[in-house]
Amino acid sequence: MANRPIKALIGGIQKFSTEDGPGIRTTVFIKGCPLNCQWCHNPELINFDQEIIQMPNNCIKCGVCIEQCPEKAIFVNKEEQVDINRELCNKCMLCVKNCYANALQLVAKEMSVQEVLEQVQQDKAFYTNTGGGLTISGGEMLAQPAFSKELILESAKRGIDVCLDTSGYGDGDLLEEMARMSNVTDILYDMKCIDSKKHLQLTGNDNKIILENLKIIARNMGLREKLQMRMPLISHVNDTDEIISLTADFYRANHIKRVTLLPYHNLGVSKEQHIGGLQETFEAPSDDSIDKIKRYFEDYAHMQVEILGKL
Amino acid sequence: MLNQRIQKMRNKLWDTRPCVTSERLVLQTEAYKRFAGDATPIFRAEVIKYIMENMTTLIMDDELIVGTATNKYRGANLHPEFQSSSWYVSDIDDFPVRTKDPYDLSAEDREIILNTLPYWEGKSMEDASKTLLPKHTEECIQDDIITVGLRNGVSGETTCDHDKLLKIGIKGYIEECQENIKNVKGTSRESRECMNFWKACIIQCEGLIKYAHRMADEADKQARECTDVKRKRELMTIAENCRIVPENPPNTFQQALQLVWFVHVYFHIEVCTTANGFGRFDQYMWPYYEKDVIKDKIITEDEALEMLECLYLKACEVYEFRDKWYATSFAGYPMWEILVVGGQTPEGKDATNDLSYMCLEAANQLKTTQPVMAVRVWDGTPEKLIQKGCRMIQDGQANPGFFNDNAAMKMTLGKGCTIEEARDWTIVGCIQPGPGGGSTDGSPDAGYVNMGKMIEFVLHNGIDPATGKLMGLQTGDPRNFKDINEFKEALKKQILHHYKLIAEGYNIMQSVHMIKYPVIFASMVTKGCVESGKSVQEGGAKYSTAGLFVTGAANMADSIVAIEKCVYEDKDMTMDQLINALDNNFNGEERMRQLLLNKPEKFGNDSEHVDSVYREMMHFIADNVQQWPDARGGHYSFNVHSQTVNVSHGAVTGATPDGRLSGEAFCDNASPMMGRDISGPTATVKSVASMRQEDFHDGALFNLRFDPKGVAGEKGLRSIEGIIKTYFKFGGEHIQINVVDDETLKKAQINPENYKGLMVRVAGYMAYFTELDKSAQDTIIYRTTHFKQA
Repeated sequence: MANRPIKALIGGIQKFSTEDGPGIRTTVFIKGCPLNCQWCHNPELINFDQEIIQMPNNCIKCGVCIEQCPEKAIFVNKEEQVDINRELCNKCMLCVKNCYANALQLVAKEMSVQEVLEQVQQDKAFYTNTGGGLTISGGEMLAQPAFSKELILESAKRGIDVCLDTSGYGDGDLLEEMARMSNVTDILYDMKCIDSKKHLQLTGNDNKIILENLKIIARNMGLREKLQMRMPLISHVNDTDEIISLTADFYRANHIKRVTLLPYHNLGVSKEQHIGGLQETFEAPSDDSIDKIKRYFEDYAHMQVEILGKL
Repeated sequence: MLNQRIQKMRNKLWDTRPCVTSERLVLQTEAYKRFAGDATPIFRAEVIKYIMENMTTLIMDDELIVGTATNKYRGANLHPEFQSSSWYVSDIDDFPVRTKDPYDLSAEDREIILNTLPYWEGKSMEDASKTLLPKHTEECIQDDIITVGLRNGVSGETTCDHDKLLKIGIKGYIEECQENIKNVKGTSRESRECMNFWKACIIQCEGLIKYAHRMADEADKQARECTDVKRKRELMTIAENCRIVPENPPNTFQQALQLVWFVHVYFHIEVCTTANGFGRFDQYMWPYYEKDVIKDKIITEDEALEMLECLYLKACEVYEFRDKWYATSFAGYPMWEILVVGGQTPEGKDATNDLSYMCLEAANQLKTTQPVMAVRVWDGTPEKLIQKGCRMIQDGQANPGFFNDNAAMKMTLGKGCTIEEARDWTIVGCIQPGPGGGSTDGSPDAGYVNMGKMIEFVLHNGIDPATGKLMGLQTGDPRNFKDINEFKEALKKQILHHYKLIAEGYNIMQSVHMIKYPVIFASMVTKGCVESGKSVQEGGAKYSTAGLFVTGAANMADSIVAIEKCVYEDKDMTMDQLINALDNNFNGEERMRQLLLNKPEKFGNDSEHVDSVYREMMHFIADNVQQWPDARGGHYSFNVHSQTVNVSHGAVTGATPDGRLSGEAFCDNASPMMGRDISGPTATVKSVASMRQEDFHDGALFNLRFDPKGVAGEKGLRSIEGIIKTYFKFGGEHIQINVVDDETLKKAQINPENYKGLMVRVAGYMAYFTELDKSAQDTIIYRTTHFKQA
């Protein structure tokens, strides 16, 4: 009997991705993440299960979802918008199937590695012309190890370079194994907060595994060169002088040379709402403060610093 | 940075509205009365010469290159020999106030025009065309089902043989014509006609030389009166230049520019023409630049740039005055004065030189609508040249357009030229490649077919639902069609029938132009005409083609696939239900519309099935129409190209099965329908490239839009470059990139459906702009505005 193909819930395949690694890329978002960052900008990709996401701007108010719902979980809320009582919902997805306007959608689609790569392969010429490739993101790619590994191996067969986008929270040996693969050219590695206690408070887990894994990657010069740190900066939360100073110490000690600063933006808030949740709003650091952090990393840790995703 | 002179001149340009003038009208009317009775070419030449001998010699402050088409700055001429005086009279008070392309009109000019026009009543080409074309064809034009070119305009969108012109000057042409006249043997009608053509050429050459000498006198006069030493010297140089060129070959870079301009502006005095490109400017101007700037160091690079910018500003001064319909369909005073740089030499070597860069830099500094820059790209094009163009794109200029030598060469070879002429290809019209060396008369605009109407005809068995009249073919009741193939076959019959109507009508119009409106001077500088003794209207050019266009191509392909999927495959609705919903503009059937919008695949998303339907339909058209000869012995060429006729044609077309509402504009040119390409620009690029454009002899026009964030910085530069190169690798001919601005985002907020593919990018965050809530959208708009300032 042939092996059953490995499948995963894919939250999106984004072509012409230009901020997730070098060149023109296609980013594959795998659903499910063991962390639960309070500011997450892709909150619909945290849960490992399928979910319904509302796109109220698309709604034509035809009422078919309300008629079709066997659990009577769909209703019109105070703002006169269609809403779902998630507690009553049995996820039969009849509403999604009947929503012709795409106002109710599945967050993700179950796909095999082959199916994902068929789409990734379509843009191969663009990768070749710009030094781009595939970026595996999420959710957390390390949380779907078999799928991610297969994706990298199959990409190699097709001559496609891969960039990993990870929080580092997962199996360190596996991460190292993936990092060593010859077609993995870049590793975007999150540094959410160097302070372990705070990390626990902000993301639901401490950062012990994350820092250990990072050290494993950083101690090998070949792998270290692939490393690109990514730091979400949330004002008064993880951008204090103390945290930045400790982070820079860590980078310096481990000879890490590249970091991207990602100032907070609130675009996750409405997405969280649309999957029936509530996300706290934070503040972005001021331009001056970002600039100060940038210069500190440059001067003290001799790093290359870029700022992305600023609104 | 613009220098002071250019800055001042450009501000004047931006601060002055175009105006309609009366001087040429009056002179032409006098000349018509005086010269009536001569053989047509001679008559027409005498008329133009009379205008050149009597028109105002206007030299304005700061100018280094001189010559105008009218007696006023930014003036447009009326051409009642082509356009009907009836709408000149009826619409005259609308000219300054109409919303699309208004023109000022002074009280004095208004009075003169109204007093002069009675002579022209019923005399125009446009008036004549009403009885020339078959009645049914005329009705199809009135109902916006098709257009037929040449009805109120000229066939003269030629590109000049600049190499020859610069080498021999106008004097050289006179000598050639005299020689031909001397050698002509026999007394046949044909040889007499040739003789008349050559005589007419000589008369028109004399007219231009006379004008140049009068300009020299004017410059001398201004120099005498000028107290500013520097300007006095400039005026004296201008006077000297005007006595040398256009009569003689130029000696300096400035004289070469002056010659090119004299000839260019003469095209616009001769007839109401557009799309007279500057051709491969960096090639034919290079020897003069090289000599003056590099070898002899007579002028500095900055001085050369300033002269070049003076020429560009002149290019912004010519207009083709259009009626309301054409002003809407070709909005924004377009003149298609394309200036080509880069590419390869006829021998197959890279042609890029210092002047190629300077040409782009001048456009980059000026940011004017003319001339339109075109960068030819091939394997040997230096990275630096592409990047220079890409940086202008990043800046939001949407200029230059990029052209693929490989594709364009295959197209020109398809027109029957040699490999050397193919390598030397240039643009005739807007994006249409023609064999090089000034050898092509493109007559680009033979007509457009409205694809939305074709769909409506199939769905209503030939009836136009807008009027209830039987206008199309009776291809049967679509409710009885068994599958999508029957639908497609019916559609193909409708389409072919309407292209035939255009070609038949256009051939009639061409034959009239041959007899009545040979454009002598523009023909003379086109390769083949002096040799054959025939104007381009009579087929004198070495290569003659006539362009056939299409509106709503993507809407058509999307509609076919929508019917295939929702009616035949999934049976979501019957054909009858679909037709009823369309007839009611989806009133009460919004859910059905959403299904048609969202379920079937749409062109522009790199999905092979819908792309193949698009390709099949476009090739069906091209394979047929490109076999047809035009009246002068040339051929029809197909191009996937709508200009902005997609707006006027969409306005009169009912709802279509792709979910488009009644009256909505069709897709732009070869691009997907607005808002339907939701898989990002790489997918759009692949879909558009997949249509095997090389087989369309006049190419395909592709506009692509970006969010500024997606193409910002050095990385963005490489992205744009990557997009262009990949598009070309897959066979695309032309690409023009617009970076989206905050205004577009604001429009997308109000009218989200048309902007569904608009993506906004934040690291790792994926979102379509229209799916964000209002506050997030506002943030992005803020960001985009912010970006522009940064």
